[in-house]
Amino acid sequence: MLTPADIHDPKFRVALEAADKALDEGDYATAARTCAETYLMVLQQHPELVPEPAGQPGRATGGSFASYLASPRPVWPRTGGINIVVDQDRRPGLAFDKERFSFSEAAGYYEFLIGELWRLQQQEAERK
Amino acid sequence: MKFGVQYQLNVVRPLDREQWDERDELKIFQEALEQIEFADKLGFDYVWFTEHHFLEEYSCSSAPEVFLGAVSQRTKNIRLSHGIVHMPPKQNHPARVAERIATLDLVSNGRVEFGTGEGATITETDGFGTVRAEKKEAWEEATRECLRMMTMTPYPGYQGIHFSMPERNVIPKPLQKPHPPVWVAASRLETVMVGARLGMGALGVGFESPEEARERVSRYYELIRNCRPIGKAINPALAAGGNLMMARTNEEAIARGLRGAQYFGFALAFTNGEVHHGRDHVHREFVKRFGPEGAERPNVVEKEPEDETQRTLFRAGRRGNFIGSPEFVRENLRRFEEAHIDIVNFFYQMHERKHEHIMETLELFAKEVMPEFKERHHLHQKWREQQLDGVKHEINSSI
Repeated sequence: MLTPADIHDPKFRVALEAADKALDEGDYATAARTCAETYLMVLQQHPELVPEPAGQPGRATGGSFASYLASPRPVWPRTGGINIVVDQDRRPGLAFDKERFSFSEAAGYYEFLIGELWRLQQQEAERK
Repeated sequence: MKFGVQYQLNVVRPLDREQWDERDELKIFQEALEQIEFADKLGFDYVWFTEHHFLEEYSCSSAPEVFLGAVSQRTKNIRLSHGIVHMPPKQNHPARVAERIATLDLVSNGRVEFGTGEGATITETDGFGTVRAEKKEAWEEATRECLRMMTMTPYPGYQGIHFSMPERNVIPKPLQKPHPPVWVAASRLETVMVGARLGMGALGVGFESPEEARERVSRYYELIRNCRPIGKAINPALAAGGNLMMARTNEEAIARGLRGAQYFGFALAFTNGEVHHGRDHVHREFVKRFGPEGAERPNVVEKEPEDETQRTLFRAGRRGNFIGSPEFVRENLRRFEEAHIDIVNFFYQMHERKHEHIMETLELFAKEVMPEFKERHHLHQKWREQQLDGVKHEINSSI
């Protein structure tokens, strides 16, 4: 089973462990926030994953569904209350639509994050 | 592996008119009833009805509970499956959902599958006032409470974020105990895993490939073993889906079915963009983009997007795994079977596909493809028993 221990990069592993613990303890806001902040670190390390600049604040990838469709890269889940926003210099940031998060929202972010980290790790291993 | 049929009730506007004729919807609805009755006789296991609102020329299935009620009286064995009910309370109050699910379960002698979801498009959620950033939370809260209403006498009441109600006994109760098998619509991998964590079946609506399906299966079963059930029983189950049209040869099947698939993908993307209610003509927009019937395909992007949601839309408009001859379809289904998918569901009613082609497809599938999978299903059930060995939660699953 895929767990934080499978992720080699220590900063990502520690973040996943913290998010996993928060999920277990019912602190879904902390889990969601930790996952979002960690994904931001992923984008900073992998600029090729950064979506196109948003046309509207608080919207990921260009502000319209058409531009969302046009982005070839894996995209952070669009519902759940936390958005990845990108300025005109393609610097990613976070925009929070709310402060309260449910289990399914936080777990969804966690599953997206661990899946992406695993995928990137596998790609790196294949390149070597 | 089991098989289902899936309906959106797609009714295109005729090209030579601005609006539908009064009989256009009637024709599609009555043909669908006939198709499902036939599918039941042929041995298909499930019929799934989506719930969509205001999505013109994509889906007229805005009252699936009514349609499934009609189906219940024209069929004997096929499972009557919501794919899915919109659970945010502004769209469907959870008490009304519990009442309708239980009623359908009783009139059908216990054949309901309770598929749940958030509702996808802004057209729909905004139409009812559901806040997009809160719809997942609303889905979770409403589904949990709806299942409690089905199993508690009385339901003690609830003060929640998205709805509240006082103590009441919600009746009738469903025939299936403690409640019908429960599902969540899952087009993305993370939603499949959230479903596993909550003990729910994952109803795949993302046109996933067999390889992607295999990837989901192992993690799903790992997670569901340690789930925190949203209801009183878990439903370990994974369903994948695809566009079906069959004929004796691949060429004939493509001639009968590809344009419908192209339209389906086009309309799906259209409904997620800016719409002009009552004034768009999606069918004409499709013809502008794709040309008239028989035209060469336009120069479209061929590279699959990496993102799953975008990939769903990309694949929705392609030939996929199930438009072809019996050999073609069988070969692809064997790959899903090897991946240990529990159910493959088929869309086929769309655009201007002919009713007689759909009926021929159902018959061809039932006679020349389905039998070997039915014969081997007991092996899959043994595999499932191994995956679920030691799971402490009650299981209610129709697989």
